[in-house]
Amino acid sequence: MKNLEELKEKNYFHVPEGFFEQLPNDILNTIKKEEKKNRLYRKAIVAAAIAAIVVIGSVTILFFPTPETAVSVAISNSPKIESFVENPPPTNTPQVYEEELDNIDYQIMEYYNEEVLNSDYLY
Amino acid sequence: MEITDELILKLFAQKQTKEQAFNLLMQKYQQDIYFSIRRVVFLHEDAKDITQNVLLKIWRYLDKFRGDSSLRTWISKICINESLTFIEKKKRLLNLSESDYVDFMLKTVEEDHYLSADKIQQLLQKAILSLPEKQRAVFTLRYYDEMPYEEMSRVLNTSVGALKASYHFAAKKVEDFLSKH
Repeated sequence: MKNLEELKEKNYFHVPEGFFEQLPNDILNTIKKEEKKNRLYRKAIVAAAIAAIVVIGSVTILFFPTPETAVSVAISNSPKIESFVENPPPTNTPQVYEEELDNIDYQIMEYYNEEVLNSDYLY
Repeated sequence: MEITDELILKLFAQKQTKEQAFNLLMQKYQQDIYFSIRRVVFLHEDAKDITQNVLLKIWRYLDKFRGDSSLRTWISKICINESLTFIEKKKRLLNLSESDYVDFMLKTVEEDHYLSADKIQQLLQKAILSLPEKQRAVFTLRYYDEMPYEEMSRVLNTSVGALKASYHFAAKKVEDFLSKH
């Protein structure tokens, strides 16, 4: 048997012709492709982040409104309330017409008118 | 002009000369990288894939190289780690035990077109292939690359004493294999 040192042959492994000439080009092409993919990936992440912010903002406004927007949203969402705001029903305050007033009423009114007109509080 | 590691690192640090530096690095180290991997995994197609992975990793991480060891040591470490990881993955993928994997590789090696036809060399490679992969890595680094034990210790994260013992046992196994066949 030969000594191990005598068997040391460095070119036992063969490679296809032109392998080492082609390898740097293959690697640089792969690197360029990878970097292009990374750039696209970074852009996609930024776009996704912006979209997420818009969605979260919209959801926040819709589901957690401020008091002002809550009232306006509630009004716009309810036709009943909207028509109530636009056409409020007549109040229950009794209307007093002149024909219902009698003499005493006029006297009382006159008295108070004079009292008020003579009042120092007006001047 | 001689391509020094210092020149490669200096050029790699600048954006406009990064690609030029990497071309110089490949020019200087691609054959060493390929053959150090090939001696561990044996097959050309496997070695080609691992070489590409190693070079991509060098491109990604060379700017983080701190110079604690030489560039050659740092590259050897990546080559050995990638080769061993590749073998582990291949064994898992093919669902093979250690001995089944050796048998599988011995059969595959006989069919590989990119191996020398020299019978004694074939026998030596079979003997090396029959070593457990970590011991195979120790053996090839020392036997073919003649790497000093101190440098091997940094590459394999193992003590010099353990490496000397490992190489001694590996060489003995190879000699026994050769004398039996």
